[in-house]
Amino acid sequence: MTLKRYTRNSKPITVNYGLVSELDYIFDYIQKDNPAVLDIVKRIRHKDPDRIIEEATRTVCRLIKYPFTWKGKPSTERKVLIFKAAGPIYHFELSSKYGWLKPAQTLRVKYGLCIDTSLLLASLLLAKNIPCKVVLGAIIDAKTKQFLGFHAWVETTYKNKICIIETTAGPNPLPIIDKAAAERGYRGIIYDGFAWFDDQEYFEDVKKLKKYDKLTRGVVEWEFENPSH
Amino acid sequence: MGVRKPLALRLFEKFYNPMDKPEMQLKIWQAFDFDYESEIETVREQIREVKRKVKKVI
Repeated sequence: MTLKRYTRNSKPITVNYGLVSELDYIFDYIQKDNPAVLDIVKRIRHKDPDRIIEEATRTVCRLIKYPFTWKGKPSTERKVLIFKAAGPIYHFELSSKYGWLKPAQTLRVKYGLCIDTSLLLASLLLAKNIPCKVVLGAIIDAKTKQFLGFHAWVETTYKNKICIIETTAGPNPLPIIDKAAAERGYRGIIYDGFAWFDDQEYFEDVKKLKKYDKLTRGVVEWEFENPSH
Repeated sequence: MGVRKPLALRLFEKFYNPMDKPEMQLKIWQAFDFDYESEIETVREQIREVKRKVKKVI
């Protein structure tokens, strides 16, 4: 596996995913020191890391809803209006089809897509000194091996195994599954991560990304290689 | 300093559009026994309520 590594101090990654498309370092999207995040963290009183992971996961799944459109489809669109001038006219107006919420915003809005809830959960766990990472990857149909789309989740060690946490499902049953099982195929879907980060480091799997890059350009037919084979 | 995104972020941003591919999220929810039908129905009920209120006002 060839990895590309980026850190806070070298090769900084800057993104424009904010509510007003402002520029941020990607690491700013993990807010382990934010007061709204710490307010949740102080209510998790367990000492055992596994219990902390369970409680933090339950909290995120319970508090944050997935945003649907009126047709019942996941919604990604947003519109921001700031500084009312007159009637419906504002000095600043921004419509966007894509963006991330920072964990404190997700807690305020109470709705979040996969990346938003993954960032929130990672912030809670890191605030509790539990190592974890936000993973960006693809979801594959385990039966047909068809690429279904891109997704985000959290990875951490739970019950002495590396596990993934699916923050868009749950809280009952608890959406924590063994990473090896998720990569082989868990109840019809395969999780295939190609990039991951915490508040200090960001990594990309170069080989996998080249494949997904070609796939999304329509250059090659999709052919998924199961990592367990 | 401008925007500086590695390949994974560019791909994720460009092709992450669940509005076009709701079946991915549905398969995830099915895998985790998530009760998405009742979630969707709750949203629909909220919309029906808003429509009723709008009709009353008009």
